[in-house]
Amino acid sequence: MPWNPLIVAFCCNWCSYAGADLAGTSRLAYPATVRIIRVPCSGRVNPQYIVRAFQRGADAVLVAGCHPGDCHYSTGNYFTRRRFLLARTFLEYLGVEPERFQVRWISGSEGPKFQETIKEITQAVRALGPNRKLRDES
Amino acid sequence: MTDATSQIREIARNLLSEGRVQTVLGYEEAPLGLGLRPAFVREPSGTGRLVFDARPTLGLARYLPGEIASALARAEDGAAGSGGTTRGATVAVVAKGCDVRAVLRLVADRRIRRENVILIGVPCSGSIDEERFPRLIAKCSGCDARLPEGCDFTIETMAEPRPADRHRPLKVEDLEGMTADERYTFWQRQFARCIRCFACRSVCPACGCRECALESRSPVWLERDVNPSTQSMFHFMRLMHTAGRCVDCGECERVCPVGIPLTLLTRKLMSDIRTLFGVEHPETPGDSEPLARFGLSDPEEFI
Repeated sequence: MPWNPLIVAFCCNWCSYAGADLAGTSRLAYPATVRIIRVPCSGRVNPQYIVRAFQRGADAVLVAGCHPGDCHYSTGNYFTRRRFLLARTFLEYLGVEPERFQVRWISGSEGPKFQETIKEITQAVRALGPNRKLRDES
Repeated sequence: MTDATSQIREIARNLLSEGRVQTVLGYEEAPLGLGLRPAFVREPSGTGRLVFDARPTLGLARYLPGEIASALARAEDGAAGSGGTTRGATVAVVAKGCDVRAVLRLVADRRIRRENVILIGVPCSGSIDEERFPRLIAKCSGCDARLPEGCDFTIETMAEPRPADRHRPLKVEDLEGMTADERYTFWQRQFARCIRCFACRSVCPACGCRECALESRSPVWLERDVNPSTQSMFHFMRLMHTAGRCVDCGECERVCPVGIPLTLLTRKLMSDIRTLFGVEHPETPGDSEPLARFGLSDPEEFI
């Protein structure tokens, strides 16, 4: 059994989840490495979710939301941007490779972008290998 | 011009005898020569106990919410009994620069009201731990030890010669220069010593939730079993929860019984907030916190 990366993706209900759905209905193939968790807004994602995903065995975590200006709740993703910019540099400071935590803006009409994003992250994580950092081995 | 101790005693005596405050929060000699400990002085006759010098002290800000609440209650009882009433400030507190920021944090978080506090600011050139060696305590390294601003009283002291900084083997920049694996190993080694006493949380002026997520049992964020992963979760949570609201008082590091260099984490977040969001003084409590607002042109190269 070759090792396959596991990506946990938090997708905003209004854009990125619809984008993932569009990728599926458009029959766009991408690696089966991603587990999608639908959230009401990328701003709903608590930084603790990222660490929890790593604890439970994720090799990479993606937070995906609407493009700036397109947020269903007007400003949710602006808070997301600030919060995860900081969380990302902080995780990096704690020793987690920055490639393992990604944020992307993917709209409901960007099925191909969702496909590309998953391909790209899968490739990057394959190069890094399995993640053991922050993992709860107990 | 007299020394800090006698000035503090005089201010405290006046405040208490004029009935302007119910309590003066300061420091007194701990028994057995164990240094300074917090003192709650409620009578003018007790002000002779007050002492202040360069020995390390516990920041008193965290006592204010409780002390003010009970002082207000006492004032109300007194008003009902005697027809007199105590208005305005109810508690005076002796505060160094870092402590003043901590008090202003509580004010900004609406945990206390500024008019219920009288700040007795003490200029500080750093605390010195004579016990171990005559050097600044770690949290004072790099502090520019300025005169506390925005106080109701300011103690005048002779400009003390600043003692040598404690040699800190590492700074934030040193860690930033390491590889991810080196940093990970470093922090895992630090966190492994953590005994989860929660002193860092208890002393932090930015920790104010009635229900702490660290103790939440539904959902459980922090597992009870202690292993490298849960230790990381504990510190990650505490730091993300206080990010943007930390006043860089360094009390977390000072109280840590196992010597985890927590200011290497708080100051990293602070410098990132400064550079990424253009917040000039993230350590100064304002009306709006960096993570509770946003900029339309915040950087997003990482996205």
